[in-house]
Amino acid sequence: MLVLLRSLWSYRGFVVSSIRNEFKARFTRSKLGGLWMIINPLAQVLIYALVLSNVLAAKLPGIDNQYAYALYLMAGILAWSLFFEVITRCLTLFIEQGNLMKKMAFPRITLPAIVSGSCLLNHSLLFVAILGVFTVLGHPPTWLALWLLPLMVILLALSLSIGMMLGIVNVFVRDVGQVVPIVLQTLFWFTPIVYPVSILPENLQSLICYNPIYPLINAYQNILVFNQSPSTESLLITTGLAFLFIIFSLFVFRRASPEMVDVL
Amino acid sequence: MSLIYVNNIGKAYRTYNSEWQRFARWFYLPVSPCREDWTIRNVSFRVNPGESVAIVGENGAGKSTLLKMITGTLRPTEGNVHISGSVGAILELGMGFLPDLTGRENAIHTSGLMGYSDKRIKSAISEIERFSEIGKYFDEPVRTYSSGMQMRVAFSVATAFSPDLLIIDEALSVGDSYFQQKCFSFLDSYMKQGGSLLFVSHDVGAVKSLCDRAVLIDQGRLVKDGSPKEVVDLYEGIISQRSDLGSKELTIVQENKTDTALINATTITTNGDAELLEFNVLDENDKNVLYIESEKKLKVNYKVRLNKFFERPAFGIIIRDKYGSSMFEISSYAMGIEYAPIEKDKIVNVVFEFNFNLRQGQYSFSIGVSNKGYARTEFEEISLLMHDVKQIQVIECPNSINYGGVYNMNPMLSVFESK
Repeated sequence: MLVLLRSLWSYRGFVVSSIRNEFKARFTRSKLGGLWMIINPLAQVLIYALVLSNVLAAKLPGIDNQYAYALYLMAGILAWSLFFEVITRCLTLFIEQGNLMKKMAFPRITLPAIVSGSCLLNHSLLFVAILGVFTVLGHPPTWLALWLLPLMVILLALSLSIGMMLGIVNVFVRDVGQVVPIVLQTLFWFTPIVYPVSILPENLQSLICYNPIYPLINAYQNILVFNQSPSTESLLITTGLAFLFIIFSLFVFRRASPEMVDVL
Repeated sequence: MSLIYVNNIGKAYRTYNSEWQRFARWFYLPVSPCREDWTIRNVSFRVNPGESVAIVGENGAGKSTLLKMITGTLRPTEGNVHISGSVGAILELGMGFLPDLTGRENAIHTSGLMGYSDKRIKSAISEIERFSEIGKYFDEPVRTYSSGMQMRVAFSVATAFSPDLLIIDEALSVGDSYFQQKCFSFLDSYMKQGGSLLFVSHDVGAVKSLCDRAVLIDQGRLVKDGSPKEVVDLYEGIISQRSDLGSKELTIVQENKTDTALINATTITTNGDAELLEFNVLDENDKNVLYIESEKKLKVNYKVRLNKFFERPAFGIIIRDKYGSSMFEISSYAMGIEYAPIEKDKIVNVVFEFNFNLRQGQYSFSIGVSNKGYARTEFEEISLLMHDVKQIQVIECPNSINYGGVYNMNPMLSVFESK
């Protein structure tokens, strides 16, 4: 494990410049460039808000703002988008970079590192943009928003470990690449992002706590919309889980990476 | 201390009944794969500092797998590779280039991928720009480049850090001839400065001229490790073995020369249908000679016994320099002379006469006997090919003009003022 980290450190310059290049490449050929990373999720929010606000707006207690539902959506989608982007990109990462992995000798761990860095950068930009939108809609963020910084790291760790394992398995069993988008879509609707958890029937509400990313999504919503600090107990469990996942996925990565090149 | 020590290396591709078994192996569960395909096995060799070594072999022989294991992109299934010193590898030119970035940015990016620190990249970048010679395009996006320009940048990046060892996989076959020439002269000076080279190529000329040693890989095994000439002869023997249409199989023999044997050769490829009995190099007075003055007449006379009926026999000769590069080769078939069929067990005398215009130096004669020529210089059956049967020393001709190059073309010259 230490070897992985050491080789990552010696390639830090490469990782940083790759993230920068990726960011730059986004601007070179499109007029709005990286802005699309912000416009896309916000457009999604807008669509849900237009379609569902009449049905769901009344169900949001504890907040006094005519855009309450839109704010709630934004907080959830902000968190979800990081999870979604990291997993989708990790899923095809090793297949896309297969040729490079076969032809150049470099620490493979840099590949997920670049993805994490680049996703985290996007996420931070979206985060800042959403803080701006919140202010415009009359719900300026409080100091509690600082909570989001450690939360981002935990969310990233969780997404990265799941994404890496799926990405590794996808190299050997390509069906995974087809199944995961469907699972993600399902998971999106089984997570209270578009709707508040309170509208679920009692028995389903107790099930939702087995959803590994719900505590994080919920924490984002509590902090940004309801100005509440997150519940430390469920966060501790999620942090522990993320830590275990990361260790496990790095172990699998170490064992699998020589074989990945064989089948790519 | 050798730069690279490849120790009994082997690579097997494993197939499992189910991928679950593969996953189980990661967790140290005892699962045996249902099939192991060894693409290469039991290969050992060394590359010493300052040495340049070629790897030759047919497509699919396992050369690229071997190089990938040496560079570290593939992990060997058994054996190991010891490397002491810095290694630069060009397995594929332009690998890792991003089309939207400029040549400069890509040069920095790829150098980073090769593991160089920002500081070293900064100091090397101007050298890369200079060597690639693509002018203002260096700051244009790579997607606007032609493939030749991409290869110029890629080669410049790979060589800019002057590693102790350079590994090149058939990369030099692209690009225009000017840049190719430049690459070769770079390699030349790189090797003069003590750099080592590990080089995969199908270009036997490049192998002979660039390398001190060669390694022949055939069907995943190391068949020969020796001088480029020996290895290339064996390699070409194997190729004719595979392409031979005759019913009998060709055998290839390479032995150390002994002075006692009547007939010597470094490499003999034969199916037993023809046998060399005698080989003589004669001057104009029909006397056996070991050396000859350049531009004198020379006769080569050899006797072969034909052990079967030859429908359309053809006889040939090859003259090579001491590096094994062919100076001249000809066969009766290529000269357009067809002989009548020759019965079994006949002994045939073949005489070639030349004006031996080659420049001073050491040359050797190789002979070939084959049957049923087709196309320009192909034969359905190769019966005998013997390399370096005899040597001859050519000494300077006192009356000749002073010329450079390989042979005297006897030029006519006129110089006059144009009006």
